[in-house]
Amino acid sequence: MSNLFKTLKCLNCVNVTLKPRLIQPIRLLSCNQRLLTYKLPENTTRSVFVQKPTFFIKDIVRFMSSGPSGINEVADRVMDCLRLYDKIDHAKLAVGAHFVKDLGLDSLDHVEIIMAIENEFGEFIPDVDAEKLLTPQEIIDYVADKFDLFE
Amino acid sequence: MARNQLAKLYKQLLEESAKFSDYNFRCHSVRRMKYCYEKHLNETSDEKLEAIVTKAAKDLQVIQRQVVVGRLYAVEHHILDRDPTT
Repeated sequence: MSNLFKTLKCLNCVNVTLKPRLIQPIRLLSCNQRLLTYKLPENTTRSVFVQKPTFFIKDIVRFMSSGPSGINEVADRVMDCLRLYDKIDHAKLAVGAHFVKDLGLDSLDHVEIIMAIENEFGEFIPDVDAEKLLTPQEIIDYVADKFDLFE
Repeated sequence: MARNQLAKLYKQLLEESAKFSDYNFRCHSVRRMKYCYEKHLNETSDEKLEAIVTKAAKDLQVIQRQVVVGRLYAVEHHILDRDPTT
């Protein structure tokens, strides 16, 4: 029982120290699509928020989510994914290389690549869109579009 | 039509296979899917493709069922699935 009280106390402390300066519950998207919500302690004063511009919240969400923070990161992660796929020849792999024509992959490999990209970014890619993604560049553009990133 | 359907089934089968909680079942299932699909990659006859689609759809149901059963009767994790930090 005393242990339980101790942990409760600890939790309480954490709550007090963590007092976030955020206006509303923020959704953080983790890799397995689980949604975590953080709520404000009720006694927090509102005056803090008024001074802070909104991009502060956005930055925190970007920083803590598994989503990419820029188009360069998208490109790096897509290319890393492709490099890990053993049937792709590293020498031929380029941003504009066509999966079927240049890299000699078949439709099954294409499905596996799309699955790897889905797992990397935790985003579902519908079959209709997946058929059109035939070069690394197209995948990068598509993913960047999903996360609202641009150059 | 069949090509699209097959690609979709292939994806579903791989995704479903990846859900096995047991390491051995999971790896076997994924490996076997890839092997079987590659074997029939150049199949053109419609009849055979039709038969493959039917069989794949049936297999998909079997896998889905077995994934659930495997979770109901969970055993200790395989050594390759264990978290090395704990």
